[in-house]
Order: sequence, then C-alpha cells, then structure tokens
Amino acid sequence: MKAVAAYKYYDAETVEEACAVLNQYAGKAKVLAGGTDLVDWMKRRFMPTPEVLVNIKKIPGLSGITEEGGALKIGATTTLTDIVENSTIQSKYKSLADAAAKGPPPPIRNMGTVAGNLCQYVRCWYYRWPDWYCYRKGGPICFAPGGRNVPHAIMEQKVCNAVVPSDLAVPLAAMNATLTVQGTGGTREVAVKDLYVVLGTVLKPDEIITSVTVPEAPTKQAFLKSRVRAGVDFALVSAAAATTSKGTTVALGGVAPIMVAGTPDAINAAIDKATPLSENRYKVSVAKAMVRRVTA
Amino acid sequence: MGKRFVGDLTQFADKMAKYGYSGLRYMGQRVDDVNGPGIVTGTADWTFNVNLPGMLVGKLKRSPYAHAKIVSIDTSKAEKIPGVVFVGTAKHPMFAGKLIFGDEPVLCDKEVWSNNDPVAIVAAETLEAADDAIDAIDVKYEELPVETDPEAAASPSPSVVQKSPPPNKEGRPNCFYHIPLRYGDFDKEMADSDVTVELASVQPPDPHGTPCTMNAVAVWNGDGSISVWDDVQNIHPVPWPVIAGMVGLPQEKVHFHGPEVCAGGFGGKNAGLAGVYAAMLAIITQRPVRVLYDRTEGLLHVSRPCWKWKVKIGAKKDGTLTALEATTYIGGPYGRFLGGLLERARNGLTGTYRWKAVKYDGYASYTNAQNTLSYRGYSSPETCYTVEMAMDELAKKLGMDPLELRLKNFLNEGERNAMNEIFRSMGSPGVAKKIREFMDAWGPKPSAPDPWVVGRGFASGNKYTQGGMVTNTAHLKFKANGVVEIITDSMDIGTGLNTIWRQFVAEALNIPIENTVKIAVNTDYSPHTSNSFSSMATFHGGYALINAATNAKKILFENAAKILNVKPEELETKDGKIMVKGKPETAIPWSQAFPSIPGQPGPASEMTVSGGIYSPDDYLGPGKMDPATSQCLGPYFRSVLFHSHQAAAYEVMVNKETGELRVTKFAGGCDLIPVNPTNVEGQIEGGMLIMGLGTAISEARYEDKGMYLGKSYLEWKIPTVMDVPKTDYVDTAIVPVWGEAHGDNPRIDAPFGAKGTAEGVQAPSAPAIANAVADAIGVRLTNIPFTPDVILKALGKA
Repeated sequence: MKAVAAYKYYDAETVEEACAVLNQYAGKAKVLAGGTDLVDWMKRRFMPTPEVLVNIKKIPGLSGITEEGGALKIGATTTLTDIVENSTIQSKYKSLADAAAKGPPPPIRNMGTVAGNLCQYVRCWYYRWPDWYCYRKGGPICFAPGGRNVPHAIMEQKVCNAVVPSDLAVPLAAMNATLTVQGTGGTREVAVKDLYVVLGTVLKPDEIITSVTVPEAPTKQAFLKSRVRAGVDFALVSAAAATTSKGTTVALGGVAPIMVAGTPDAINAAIDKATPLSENRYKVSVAKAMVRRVTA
Repeated sequence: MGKRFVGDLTQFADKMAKYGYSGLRYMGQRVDDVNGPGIVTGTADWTFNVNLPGMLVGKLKRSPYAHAKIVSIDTSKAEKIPGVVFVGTAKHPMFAGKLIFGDEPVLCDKEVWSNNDPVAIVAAETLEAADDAIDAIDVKYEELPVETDPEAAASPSPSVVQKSPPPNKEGRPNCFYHIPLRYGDFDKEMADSDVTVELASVQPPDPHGTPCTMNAVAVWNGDGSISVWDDVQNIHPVPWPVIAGMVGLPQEKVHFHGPEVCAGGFGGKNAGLAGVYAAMLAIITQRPVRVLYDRTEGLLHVSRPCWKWKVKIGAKKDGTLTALEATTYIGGPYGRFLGGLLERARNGLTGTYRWKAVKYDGYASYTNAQNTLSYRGYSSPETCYTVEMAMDELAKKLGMDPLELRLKNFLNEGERNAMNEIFRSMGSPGVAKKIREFMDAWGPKPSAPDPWVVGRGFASGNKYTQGGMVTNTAHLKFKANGVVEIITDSMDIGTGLNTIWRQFVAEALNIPIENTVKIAVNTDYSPHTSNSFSSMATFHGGYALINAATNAKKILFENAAKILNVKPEELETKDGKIMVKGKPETAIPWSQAFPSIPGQPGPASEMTVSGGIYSPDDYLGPGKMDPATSQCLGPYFRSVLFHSHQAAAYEVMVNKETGELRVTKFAGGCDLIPVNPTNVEGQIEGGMLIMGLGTAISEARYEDKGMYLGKSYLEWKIPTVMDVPKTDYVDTAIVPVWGEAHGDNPRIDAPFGAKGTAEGVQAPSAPAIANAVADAIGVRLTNIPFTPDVILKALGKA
C-alpha cells in the first residue's frame, strides 16, 4: 500500500451538486462516503487515481432509517453500525442486521455506509494488485481460471470471475429491495438484484444511490455467511432467504460477479448448472447446503 | 477466566539462594510490564517515533515477478518528480554489493529471483513523492521459468537451474545445503518395528506479520560517522556489522540505537535491512532518511520458507518407539538462514522422544519462493508438526492412549538423545500430564448442532536454545542514590524483557524494582549481552546480570566489612543498605562502600561492575560434531544450550457443510521456572494459542507463478479476537523445571533456574489442531492451513 496520490476534493452540499460535479468529470470522479473501500483502493494504486473525490457525507437527509407505509427506507450514507443497532431492523429485518454485523469489524462499520457497501469494488486479488493487468482493469484476460481461484465465482462468469463482495446486497436482494438512484437527468429505481452487471454496476458516471427501500417486512427470513476467519472477512459463500407477499426469494453472495437471486427452485437449478473453477468446486456444495438451511 | 496453573517455586529456594535469592521478592512474581503505559499510550520509544528535522523518506522499487531477467531500468521520469532527491539502482557503487551471506544483491541488476526483490531505491521529501517516484520508475523484465516447490527444486534434474554456477550439492544443481543425521542401526530397527506410520506434510511460507513494520532512520554526522535507529531484535551479531560493512565504515563510526520496544519480531527483524538502505541513502544525500516498509512489504520481505516433510516412525507392540526416518525440503531465493534451519531441525527430531535409530536428511535449495528469515522457533514448530501427527496415528494403530504412548517414550533427565547429547531440564512428562488433566476437565465432548462436529487433539513440542552468537556481558551502574542502571544491548520485542531483567537485578540485589532502570540500547556504550532471538535473552542476559550483581556485592561487602569491622560473609544487603546479618541498626548505604578513586579520599560517587560468562563456547563443552552423522563427539559436547518443552490441547468445531473451522477450547503449557508468570502466560496465549492457530487454520499463502496474491491483512488472514476461544476456555500451565544447559562440563544453571520460552510455545499448536481436526472429521489432513476448501475436499465435497 502506498500513499494516496494527489486528487481534488469536493464537498457536495446537495445531491444535485454532487451529480453535477460527477457529470463534469465524466468518469474521472469518484463518490466518497465512508471511504473504507475507496481509500484502500486508491492506496494500492492499481488503477489511475481519480481526478476528484466528491464527498456526499455532508449532504443533509442522505442518512437515516425510516418506515413509510409498511416499507423500510434507508438513506445512502447510513452507516453499517446504524443498521446493526436499529431496533426496527433488528426486529423486522433481522437478516439485514445479521449481514451488517457479520461484515466488517466495528471501526469500519462506524464509517462504512449502506450505499458504499453495495458499490464497493471486487476483492479479486488479480484486480486489487497492480502486478496483474486483468480484464477488469482493461487487460486481455481474467487470470483466475488459469491461476488461483479459491474465492472466485462458480456461476455467471462471463469475462471476469470476481464475486460481488457486498454482504448487504444478499439479504436486500432476497427482500426485493430497490435503490433510488439520482443523476443529472433525474431519479430512477433499480432493483438491488439488478444493480450488478459484468465489470461493474448499472450506475452511470453522474449517478449516485440516494436511498434503499425494502417494500415490505418479510414474514420469514434468514442470512448465512461462511468465511475463513470468524471476524473481518468477506464471504466465501453467503445466502439469504425472505418470504413476503410475493413469495420466497433466495439470494446468493460470493458465487458470481452479479447478484444471483430468484425462487428457491430457480437458485437450486442454477447451482446445479454451476461452472466452478479449478480450486472452488467446494462452493457448489456450500451453496446447496446454505440454500437448504436458509429456506428450512 | 480459565485455569492458570503455576507450579510451586519455593521447592527451588535452596538452588536459587546462590544467586542472591531474596525470598522470591521479584522472581516468579507478576510484576507489571514496565513498558505497558508507554505502549498503550503510543509514547514508547519505537523506532517509528524517531523523527529528525529535514528527514527524507526512502522507498524501494520491488520486482513483481518471482524470476525474471532485468532488461532495462529507466529512472528518468522518477528523477523529475518534485520532491525527489535521489533515485538509485545497482549501477550506483553504493548499491552494487551483496547482502549478508554474499548471494543476495543490495539491488538486483541483471536478474530477480523472488517476488519483492528490490531493483531501485528512492529518497524524497515526502512519502507521496517517494511513492510517485517508485511508480514512475520503468523496469522492463523478461520473465524466466519459476519454481517455488522446494522438493522439485532439489531434484537432480530440476526444471529450473537458478544460479550460475549451480551449487550442485549431492548432485542436485539447486541444492546448496544437505544435512544428514545417522543414529543407531536404522534398517534393523525399522525392520524390527511391529507398527509403522508414514506421513507427508506441506507447510507453506508464512510471514511474521509484525504489528510494527520494518523501519529505520539514519543520519550522516559531521564527524564522518553515522547514527542509525533500526527496528531490530538483535544488534551485535547481524545489523550493526552488516550496516558498517555495507557502507564501508568501521563499526565504531556507526552509532547504532536499538528500540525500547519493537512490537513483535518473531525472527523477522533479525537482519535489520531497512537500516542498511537508510544508512546508504543518508550517506548519499547527506540528509536524515527514514526507510519504511509498508504493510505489503511487511508481509512480503521475508517469511518462513515452505517446508515439505516425509516422516516414517516405527514402534514395538507395547508402544516403545524404534526408528524415525525424516526427510525435509526447504527453499528460498537466497541462502541466508536456510542451512541453519536444517541443522536445527535435528534438535526438533531428537528433543522429545527416545529413538533407537534415526535417519534424517534435510535439503535446502534455491527456489523462487518468498525470501526467508528466521521465524519463531527456527524449525522447531515445523519439525515437531509432522512427528506429532504421526505419534497420534501410531497411538491409533496401537490402540494406545496418545498421552500414554508419549509418556512411555519421553527422554529421561540425564539420558543421551539421538544426537548423543546429555539431556537436561526435561519437563515434557509434567507438562503433558498437566495439559491432559485440563483437557479431561473439559468433560465429555459437547454435542454440536448439525452440521458442526467437535474434535479434540493434543500434541507435545520441543525447542532448543542456541549457545553461540553472544558475548554475554552486562554492566550494572550503582548510583549514590541507590538506583542501579542496567546497561545491556537487548531489545524488548514484546517478550517483557525490559521487565524481567529488572526483576532479575532487583531479586539478586534485594532492592525495590523501582530502583532499577534499563538504559536505552546504543552501541556507543552497550556491551554484547544477548540477542532477542532463539529465546535466549532470559538465560544469557539474566546470567550476565546476576553475575554482575554477585560481583558487585562482593566489592561492596569487602569495603563495608572494613567500615563495620566484621568479615564480609557476616554481612547482608537490603534496599540499598549493607548491614551485619540480623542487625539492621548497623546499616550503612551502599554509597559508603563504593570503591574510592586512587589518591582521592572517600568513596567515588558511583560504581560500575560487569558480569558475564568467561566464554560462551564453554556452553558446548569440549568436542565436536561429526558432520556425516550429526553425532556429538566428546564426553559432554552438545549442539544446543538447553531445551524447553511444551504441550497443547485444542477443541475445535468443524462445519461439515461449509468447511469452516473454529477453535472452542484451548489448554497449553511449558516447562520452566517463570521469572514473571503473567509474561509466560502471555507467550502461551499469543504464541501457542493464536500464532500457532493462524498458521494451522487461516494464514493461507496463495501464489501464482511465485507472485504472492495475499499482500494485505484481509488476504493473509491472521486470526482476529473473534477466532480464539472465550477466556473461560483458555487454560495455561507453567510446570517448573530447573533450567540448566545439558552436558556436564560444567553443567550450567539458568539464572534462578529460569529458561526462555518465547518461540517454543508455537511448536505443539499446529499438530494439536491437526489432531483435533482428524478427531472431528475422521480424516487426517496434513497440509496446512486447513481452510474451508481443504476441509471440504477431504470430506469429498469439492
């Protein structure tokens, strides 16, 4: 890890202002919220340092947890600690609180935000170090299939085998949560399960997530996460299930570069068709067992 | 809070008396760590806290490849970055040489043999400018074939021949070291065995992971000397002479400062190379320079090597061990320290059990794996690992209790081991029994909720402490106000040394510990006392200090006897006063008994007295070792100073669906007289329970073509507080055994009977965890770490 290279810093006071600056720098700006991932990402210097960081933490109204007409609304800059400690989430959306608690350690939970957790960069070691010019960075190939791939994807691999690292995305996808996204052209809704696409997210360079909405409290829910260490570790495989008026949805984490979410039958069928790499066949049996447990 | 057993120390009162025993006033007492407040408030004298005006930042450009030809290095862009003061390569005469054992370039010129090899160096006004310059140096490489497997590298026809000319030991082109041990009639004993067990294991490279990464500050003084502050765990044997040699100055012109505390060494701070680069940059730039390794360099610059072992052990039906066959392969890009590891592995093989015959071969070869350095235990944990797993498998085959099998075969006090050394200070039986007692007290194995299964495992361990590489001298300065200054050279690297040395002095002189001060380490006045490696400082430093105290008391008593008109042997001392035994009214302060300066009336205002051992080589006794058989020849000759012994027990839970492994209970102990029981318990918890656990279950070391992928603490998974059992389930045992160097010429007592334990605690932990995992899942796993993918593969689920 190196010192962070020079960049311009911009404190946004409104979402509109933040979007305008992001638009002005057209892809050469990054959004700064908790910074727990972004600063590490910049210190490794494996990608060009952004020209400008737009701090959105000072924007009024972007943080907070409220219930509105049976739905749960979480502001983008709400911290993971807020999620863990919120009594509404603890009682009605327990799987979300579990996912936040099983994520980073308390100091990082105090800084890391909900939207930041969803938008963090993948942890793939070929991507995260400058020594490997991989496909995700603009290089010719993904090194994982021919190299070391214990933590990598077992399904939905297209050109990249990194997995979505967000713990929160898994229960949120299972609960059919949506994101409110604002850009210079206005706002739109994006389902959490549709946030991730090959090599990134559907967010445009001028867009930021302003809030997360869980439409209804599940009548039944569960979250499980497996990892090497008992603390401070990303998921090898995680799974969440939530039963709502729309039925039961299962979501898997740690298995694909996108969110894998659907009915239990659809997810089991997807696992049966998994395409594990040389070192991660174990994830297939872990995923199967976890789906069985979260839907039990 | 779990059990805290400390055996009775009063049984050793008579033996301790000759060292100035003052009734266990400080010996064996839980004295608070003298550096505690400084450490928790961040004000301790770390090397990192040395900040000089105008100081530059030095950084190294390192190779991403494990083996490559350097085609070109272009530094022109880096030189133009604002704030950059100097950019250097091996073309600069200062960086053209070789380090330490002569096969490691200061900066690589034509070829790199390891991921992280340095190829260029920068000095800049700020860390930012230095990092910008490192990124701007353009190095063109041509990749060469890579071999990281030490066994494949040792082949007579290896795929890659690393060095030209090849060392070609034993007809193996990459092999530069072969160590054999031959004892007894091996073929006959193995053939006569009723039962045999064979196991092979791989233990990958594992870095030290010190909380404080390597750093050093150097400044060029106006008088042609340099001052260096280096984050090291020894001074006299390695860093000081290496720095002086590398910059071409006599040692007296290198003023070398050791840190007050160094936040973990684990062997990784024995070379102090950051100080070499800092000194070179300071001379070139004529400015103070700090060379600072970042966290990534902290994990990459050195580690323990990859160890591959093949072990076969035999026994008779009644459990009597017969023969041990052991072969090991280790490797690294440079030879430093690897040969010594193979020599010391002999001690691990012969330091616990009685064998009728042993056949051992160790091979060290050049590979493109991570560079190596001494690592906690210096071969003991890695050697005990496979043997202790084999012992459990043997017990299973014989239908014997694993403890019973071990008790039957532990070496006896005074017996000769398979290196023909007289064995002393043998505490294995006592420690093993105590740990087993704790393990049994856990009750029956709890039933875990499906899919978790529970297993328990036990293992013994041993560790040698070397006798050489010390001069063993300490000075005590007695001041008129009753304060005694301890002038020595060793650093407290987290071992509590700064505290226990004060305990030794206060006990030997019978003074309040507050009246002792350990003086900052500086080669300008520090003698070579000991080193903070090989778990030797308690023994060597303690011995020198107690000897100095004894010498001082002799002088004081002789002078006081004249004043008090009695014989010296009628006197005693307490709290800085000398008095006739049992007559406190006769007391005079020490200062009245200080020797006078010739020609001056009255005593001098202070007194400095030295102590030590005449020659450290006497530890080994007369004789020599036969290099062909590793047998100690001569009546008393021995290869080590003393042995220490340990035992560990773990309860683990394994999730048969996810492969997750969690440690739920622990008991661990060692055989020694503790200077400070809290300190020893800290070693058992930190070194045995946690550091050993990390190597066994989580610290996987992934590399691709020799390029290490786990370069942060998220990827190299050192255990967190969440990974250890609750304190209610952490039991420790300190089983006192009188410490003495084995051999009888002369037999050397440890100071107050105390021997060191810092490294040995790690020896039994990985095998005990492996035995617990085997108990839990019914499959024997031997390649660490036991990560979920490894466990599920063993269960047929991957």
